[in-house]
Amino acid sequence: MDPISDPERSHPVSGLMVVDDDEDILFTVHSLFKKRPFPVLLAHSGQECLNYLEKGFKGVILMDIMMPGLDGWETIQEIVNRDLMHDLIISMFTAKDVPDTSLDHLKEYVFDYITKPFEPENLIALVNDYITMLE
Amino acid sequence: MNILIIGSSTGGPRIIFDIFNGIPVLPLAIIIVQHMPESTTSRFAKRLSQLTTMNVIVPKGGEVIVHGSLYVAPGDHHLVLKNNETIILEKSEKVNFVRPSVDVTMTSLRSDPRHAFYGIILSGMGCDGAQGLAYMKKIGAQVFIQDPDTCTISSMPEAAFKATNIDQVLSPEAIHNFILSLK
Repeated sequence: MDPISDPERSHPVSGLMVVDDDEDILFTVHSLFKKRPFPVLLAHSGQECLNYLEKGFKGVILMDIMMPGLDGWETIQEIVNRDLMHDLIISMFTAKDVPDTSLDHLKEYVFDYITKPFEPENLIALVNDYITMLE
Repeated sequence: MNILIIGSSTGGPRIIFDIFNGIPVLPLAIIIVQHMPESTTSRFAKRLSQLTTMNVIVPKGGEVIVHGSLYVAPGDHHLVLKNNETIILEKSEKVNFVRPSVDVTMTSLRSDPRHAFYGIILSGMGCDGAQGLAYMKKIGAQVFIQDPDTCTISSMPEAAFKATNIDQVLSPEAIHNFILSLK
């Protein structure tokens, strides 16, 4: 198992978490950030994201929307319900570029909205900005 | 007193950081209403303070706004201006599903020919700020929206565009230049 996706590893104070059921996306984003001075966690589902948060993850979350089990919005709702919304910046990370208006009640928890496919340089700059903001 | 109110939601922070990068102290009071959780407010404000030399403040309530200062509405509170000068924070019902609400802050202004008002709506989901911007226009403000083509999510500026006669549709760079022109 890749150590950065091992749920048993010790958790960082601040880092980047990518939540996506697409292994290719996880691999690509990990490749982009593996040399950065902050840890990168890969979560394959909303539930795995919640597990990391329960263990104390703080930082930037790139959240896919369409995932089996909890989708991205349901995961955010659960983050709010469990009072885990501390020292987090959440950006949706999705191919779907127009959010449903029925999700308006969650908008205050979503800092940004990054669409796939993405420009690597833009993604790196944005994540670095948000990581800096949290430091 | 010159007062600029900026309403922003999803996708807005990155634009706000671009807009305020290098902005010097200006003779106006700026209020930013960004939809965000309470825990993020101080970090957002800190980042802003690294980009502009304006005095960035997260108000606690009771502050009298002054030129040269930029006030960030704290998460989970509505920011109301009493008599166009004193910040009141309220934990009343969410408006447009959010607290702080852009509409609440903008509609708290009172018409006064001694003041120059400016309102801008940036990227975001939903329609918060549309009524507020229309109200500001009605009381004599100059009102603007971020060009929807440059928005991460364009529904907020588009809703404002439909709600009132916008003075100008501006790119982020043009918003930066407009703010600079207010010196």
